[in-house]
Amino acid sequence: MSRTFEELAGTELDALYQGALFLAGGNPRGAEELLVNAVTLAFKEHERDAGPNEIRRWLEARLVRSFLRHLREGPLVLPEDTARRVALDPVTFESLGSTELFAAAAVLPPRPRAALWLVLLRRWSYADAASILEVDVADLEKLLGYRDVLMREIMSAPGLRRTGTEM
Amino acid sequence: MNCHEARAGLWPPERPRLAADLVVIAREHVRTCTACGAYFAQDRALLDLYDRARAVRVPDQLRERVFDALAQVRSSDRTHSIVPRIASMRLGIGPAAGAMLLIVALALMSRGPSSASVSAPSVFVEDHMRRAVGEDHLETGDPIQVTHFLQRELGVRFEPIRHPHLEVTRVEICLLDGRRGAMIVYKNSGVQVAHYLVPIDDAIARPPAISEHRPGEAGRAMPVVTWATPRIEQALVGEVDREQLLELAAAAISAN
Repeated sequence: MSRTFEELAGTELDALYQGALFLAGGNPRGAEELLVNAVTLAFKEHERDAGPNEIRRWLEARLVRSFLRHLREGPLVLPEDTARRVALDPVTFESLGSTELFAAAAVLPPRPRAALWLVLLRRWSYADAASILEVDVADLEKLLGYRDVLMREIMSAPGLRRTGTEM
Repeated sequence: MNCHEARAGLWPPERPRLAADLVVIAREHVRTCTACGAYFAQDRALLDLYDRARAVRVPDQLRERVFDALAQVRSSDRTHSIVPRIASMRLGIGPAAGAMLLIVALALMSRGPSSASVSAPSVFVEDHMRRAVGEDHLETGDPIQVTHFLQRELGVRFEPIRHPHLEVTRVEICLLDGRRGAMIVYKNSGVQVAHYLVPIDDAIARPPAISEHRPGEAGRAMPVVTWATPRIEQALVGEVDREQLLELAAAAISAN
C-alpha cells in the first residue's frame, strides 16, 4: 500500500529539523520557518511514487532550496584565511555537542553552508549536490573549501579541550 | 591523481564501490597521502559531531504546525488522491479505530454549514498523520489521569464516562474538521468504544442524536451518537447497540 506524503515526511521530520538547525546557524525560529517552508514546498512538488530513500533526498533538497531562496547570496570565492589549514586531533571534538556545530555553521555564507550540509553531513555525491545548488562540480569544490572555516569555528567553541593546531 | 580528485572519487568514503581502476588509484593515493588521511579523519569527527544532533527532536508544536500547513496546502490542492490512502491507516491506528474515525468525521461534518467547507480528505489526513507521528497520547485505565491529560492538552475540564461496563484504556489527541480534539478509548465488554471531544467556542448545546454511517462502500454500518455541550462537540462510536450508545452519551453528559 502506498503511504501518504505526510506519513513519509513524518518519519524524516527530526532529521530535517536537525538539518534546518544547521542551515539556520542554530537559530530555532529560523529553523522552524525553514522546516515548514521546506515540507510544504516538497509536498507541492512531490512525486507520488517516490520511495523512502527518494523522499529523504527529496526533502533534503527542498530544505536547501528553501534556505537559499530566503537568503541573500554570499560570495563563492574563498576568504583569504581559508588557506590556513586546520590540523585537528578528532578526539578534541568529543567534548562538543551539536549546539557548537550549529553555532559554527552560522559564520558561513549560505551556499557553502548548504554545500557542506549536503555533502559532508548528509553524504550527497558531488554531482547531486552541485545539481541542487545549481553550480558545477568545480564550484562545489570551492564551496566545500569552507569546511576549514567550519572546523576552525568549531575549534574556537568555548570549553573545547584544545589539542588542535593551526598550520 | 591529486588530492581533490582522490577525495571526490571516493566520496562518500563509507559507500561500497566497485574496485575500478580509478577507485584503486584513489584509494592508494589516500593511503599514502598525509593530507588526505587527515582530511578523512576530520570528516569522521565532523560526522560524529553531527550525529549527536540526532537527539534533537522536532518540538511537538512545530510538528503540529508542519502538518497543519500540509493540511492547508492539501485542502487547496485536490490533485492529490487521498481517500484511497486512508485505507492504509496504520502506525497506531487499527482498522476498527479508522472506521470509527471515518464515521465520526462524517457525522461531525454533517452537522451544519460551518463544517461543510472543510473537505473530508483533509480531515482524515490530518488526524491520520497526527496519530502516525504524534506522541500526545496516554495509555491508562485511570479516569483521573485522563482528566488531567485533557486539561493539559485541550484546556478543558472533562470527566470520562463512568459506567459499570465501561473501562478507560487510552486517550489521545486528534485533529477533526481542522480542530484539535481528543479521543478517549473505552472497552465495553471487550468491544472498543471511542468518545471524541472537540472544543469549539461557539458550540451550542444540543441533545444526543443517533445515526449510522458506513466507513466505506463495503464497510459495516456503525452507530454514532453526536451531541454538544457548551463549547464541546462530542461523539460516541463503537460496535455496540444503539440504545447502549445513547445510554453512554447520557452518562457522559451527567458526568460533566
